[in-house]
Amino acid sequence: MTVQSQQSPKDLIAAYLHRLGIRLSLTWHRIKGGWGIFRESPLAMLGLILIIIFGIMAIAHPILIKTVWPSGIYDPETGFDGMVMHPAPPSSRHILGTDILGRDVLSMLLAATTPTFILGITAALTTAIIGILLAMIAAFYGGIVDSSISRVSDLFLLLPAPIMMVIIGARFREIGPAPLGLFYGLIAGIGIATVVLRSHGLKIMKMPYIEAARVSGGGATHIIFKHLTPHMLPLAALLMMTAVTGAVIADGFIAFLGFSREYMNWGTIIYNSFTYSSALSLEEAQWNVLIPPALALSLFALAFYLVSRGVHQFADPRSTTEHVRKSKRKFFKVPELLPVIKSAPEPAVATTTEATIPLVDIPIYTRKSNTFLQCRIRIVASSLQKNRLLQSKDASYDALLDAMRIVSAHGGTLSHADTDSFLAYFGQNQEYLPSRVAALLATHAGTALREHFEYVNLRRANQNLPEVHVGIGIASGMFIHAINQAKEYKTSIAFEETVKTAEKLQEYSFVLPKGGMLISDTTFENLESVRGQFCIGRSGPARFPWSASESMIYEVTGRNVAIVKHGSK
Amino acid sequence: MVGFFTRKALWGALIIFLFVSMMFFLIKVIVPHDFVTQFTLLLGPAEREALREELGLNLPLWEQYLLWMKQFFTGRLGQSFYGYEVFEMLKATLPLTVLVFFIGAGLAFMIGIWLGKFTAWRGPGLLTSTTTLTSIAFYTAFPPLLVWLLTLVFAKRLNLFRSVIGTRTWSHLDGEIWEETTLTAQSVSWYIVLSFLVALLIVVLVGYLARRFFRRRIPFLLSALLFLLIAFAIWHAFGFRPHALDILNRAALPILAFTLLAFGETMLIMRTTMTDTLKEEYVKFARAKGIPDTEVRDRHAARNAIMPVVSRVVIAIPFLLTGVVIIEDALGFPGVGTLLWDSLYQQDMPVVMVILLLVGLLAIFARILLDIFYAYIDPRIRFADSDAREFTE
Repeated sequence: MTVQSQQSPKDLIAAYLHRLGIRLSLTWHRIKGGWGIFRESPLAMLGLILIIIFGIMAIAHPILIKTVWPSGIYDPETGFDGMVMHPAPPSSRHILGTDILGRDVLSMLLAATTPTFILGITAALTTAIIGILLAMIAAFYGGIVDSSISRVSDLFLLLPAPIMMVIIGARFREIGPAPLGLFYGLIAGIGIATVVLRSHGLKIMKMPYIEAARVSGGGATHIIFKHLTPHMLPLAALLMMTAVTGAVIADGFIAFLGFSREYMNWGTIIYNSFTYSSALSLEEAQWNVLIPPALALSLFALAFYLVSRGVHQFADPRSTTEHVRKSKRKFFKVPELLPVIKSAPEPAVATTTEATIPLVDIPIYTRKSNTFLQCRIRIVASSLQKNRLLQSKDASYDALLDAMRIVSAHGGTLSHADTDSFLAYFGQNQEYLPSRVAALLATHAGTALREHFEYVNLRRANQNLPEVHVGIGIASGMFIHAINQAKEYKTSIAFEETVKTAEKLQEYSFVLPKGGMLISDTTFENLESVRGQFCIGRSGPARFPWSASESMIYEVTGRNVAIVKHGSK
Repeated sequence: MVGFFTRKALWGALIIFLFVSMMFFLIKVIVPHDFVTQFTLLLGPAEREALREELGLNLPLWEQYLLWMKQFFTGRLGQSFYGYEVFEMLKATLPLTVLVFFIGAGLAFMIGIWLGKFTAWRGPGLLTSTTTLTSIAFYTAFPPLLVWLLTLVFAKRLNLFRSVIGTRTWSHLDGEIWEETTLTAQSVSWYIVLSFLVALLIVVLVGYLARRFFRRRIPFLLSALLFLLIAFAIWHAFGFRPHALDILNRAALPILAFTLLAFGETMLIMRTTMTDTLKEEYVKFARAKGIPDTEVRDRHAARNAIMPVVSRVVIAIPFLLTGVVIIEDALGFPGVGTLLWDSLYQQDMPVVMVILLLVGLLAIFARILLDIFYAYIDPRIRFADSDAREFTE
């Protein structure tokens, strides 16, 4: 007798839909983040607008032929207008004029857009698919597989894809846009795409999450499709765009050379104009026929190249962090300085007989960085007095005092202390502390707190006492330090956002099971060169109410090095 | 060190071997039948068989392959379908292409480096965006369009250079100066390239001596002037000054077009790497020390940023050569490019394949030289995985 599954198919479908929903929303968030970065680059937006215009051109031609343009006159292949002399200059009837055979140039221009799109998209998809496949096999398996694949791609790197495409076009004259694009994609995919994606894949394979996936028993298929491929996609998108540029220019060139094929092409228009007009010198050439297709070709390639640069902004991890840093800087703009300047004392004016010399004592503004650590400690118990630590039953244990001791041992200064929470800041000393040191000290203090309370909880568990939870949020930011020359007037203003971020992060961290520690992206960046001292856990984007864009938050799960030894007496 | 060079040499030999083999099979795939059925329609069956035997086409595929390899490695490039030696055809066209490629690539490299350095140093702004957009526009321009505009502006309107459109061969160069000499366009082109190399060597040597013994750096403009002067003096001393100038005048349009087409890529890569370099601590430190900005830019930042650019440009050599080839055809400049397209019109595959082979070989040798140069200046590379160079832009 078979054991019936507890879950009905309905439940399974619901669970599957739920997972799918999560996955979709994650993807949506990623796309939205990318779009936010993409939108900021005016050149990339220009490229996108150009592509949209070309798309409209591709759609417009069949519609115009069906509705406004009589096909006898405006057909791109056989049209002839008996009402005007050919070749005709631009007029209201023929916006770009006609060529020597009496065909409307605008109609030909629009008709050539669709095959160009087909060619470009085929080339791009082939490049990306082949590149990703070979690169992930090479990066995942390594060793002999990797070296043989990279030898082959070295070989294909030597073949100039555009020239090869022209050779193929010249040999097989009836080849359509899709096979031609396929051929370009084959050469570019095995060549440059594999080289670029493989070196990116090798970097990914060294990441800790791959290790984690291996340790937790993930097989080859799982790691390749769940971890390796998704990280290659942005870079592959970039390569797709450049493939479109190369393929379209080469395709135009095949037709320009006269290896004319079945479909209408911008290069064909130029070739026909030269061939049928018997104009050997450029001065006799028809510019209204030559310039539009050549310009369309150039602009089409330009559009995809510009978009590729926009894609590169978020495809490259280095530029992404740079972007986040840039968007953060918006908070620290000049308007924040104004209240400080307004509250500065009026300059004293000394009057002499000769003239009035104002003794302006200008405060010197310096910007320093500091890191705030917001911590909250609670005893978690089912009893009524679960919240107030100091008033709880085991008031004999002063957890807050212990925590403060640990913080000051790491060089932190207490700012606000409440019954169960406190705010400490690091780096705002008399001397200048680099932002890196401040962040390092704060993060070490946070991990020390967590380690301490883990130990405390072990002891308390033996005594059947309720557990102590600790939630820590760390955020870094700049503050303005103003001091006048006479050193009479001194003030420093921290940006509210930083403190608020620390508080918010602390709130989030308290929701984590058994408490935890979250750091903001600025702190994470400040830690850059010393990050190896900590174990960074999960990370994800978070939106704070006061911020326009999302920023990443990171979880710190432990540390590898202790810089201060605090004795537990 | 020795191990590194052995590894590199073995890699190069393997790639050359594979590339030549691939070319052989490509010919077999692309040419529909063999030479005899395609081009000797008037011969009878017996004569065809005789010809096949003479050309070695009746042998099994692997013997043909061995024959091809033997021919290639003994330096015989074979015959075109029309009976000419491919070697002779190359001898007539290669010098002009070499002239255009080296001068154009050199100019494009220098302009690209300078513009990239400049825009990265300035940071984002209107001027930077305009420069970037212009470079990308030139980089993605349809080459014939570029060539027409240049011809119209420089040859027709300004009358600066000679328009070369429509002249497919230079067997007889017109003009008085070519009548009483034995010099040909090809030999003069080789001489120009050689004299430029010599001049470059002298300028580098002078710069080195000035740094070593007088502790002075020669400004860039002065070195450029010195370079031109030396080249000019060589031409004058060997008595081919007017001829060299005439050739350069004729080659000016393709050189200009190629420079405009090629500088964009260098500029974009240089800008990216330079932006990264400017974030480094040593640049901040140099500025904090009070070193003048131009010096920090040129000596601290740009020098370190230039290395990835060089490796990217060397990898892009096949694509750069594509640019030359396309421009030559659009202008009708009688170089290798025109030969390539003309052979394509006539389905003359041996010539096409030899030209492709040449492109590949040039690229391989450039990469090997680059690797050796890298290993020479940066000892870390000798011990690390040499393939792990940065390819991301």
